[in-house]
Amino acid sequence: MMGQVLNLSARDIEDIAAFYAAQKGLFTADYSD
Amino acid sequence: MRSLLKVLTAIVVIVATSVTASAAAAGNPERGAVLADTCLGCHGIPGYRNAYPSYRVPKLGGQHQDYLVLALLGYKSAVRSHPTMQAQSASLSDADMRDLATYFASQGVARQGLGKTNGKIARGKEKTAVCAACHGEAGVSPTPNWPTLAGQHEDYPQQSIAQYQNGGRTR
Repeated sequence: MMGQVLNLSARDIEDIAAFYAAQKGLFTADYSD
Repeated sequence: MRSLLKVLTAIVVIVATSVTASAAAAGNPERGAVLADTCLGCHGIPGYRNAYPSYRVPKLGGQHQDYLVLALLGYKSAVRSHPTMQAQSASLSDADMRDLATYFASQGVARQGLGKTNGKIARGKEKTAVCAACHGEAGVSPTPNWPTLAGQHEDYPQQSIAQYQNGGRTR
């Protein structure tokens, strides 16, 4: 993991995070679940 | 015939051992739900932000059980730096961690599929090619030790990657 991310630029990180955030997946577990 | 019996016996023993190991690894989600009351004070509030640095705390619903246990162990052993999480995990036993992780993992199965898209997301997809082996092509990890990232708050992986880069997290 360390090796994969050490050379990522700030823009790379923003793009990657935006991609994952746009996928359907995790959700906030709350008391109503 | 005797050799065949030996092979069959070995297979039965291996399968039985695996089933037992899986059952032992599985936690108690009901007990986990009780323990999670403390966690939900932050992780159960949609959009809740860590104070400093400011970022939304991670969504835990549908996350892999094994990964959640590893994360808690990381905080407990201080290879992950977050004072509140270190304090919270310090008193958790291995069984507590398994129960909590089972509870959050049992909240639902992450659904796969692309939501909205734009230029930034398209660039991100290209850049995640190297991540896909562990985190899955669409961010739903096929490996329980690695986190599912699909649907996670955008600023949480940004924070995590920054921590890997500055040494604040080593696993």
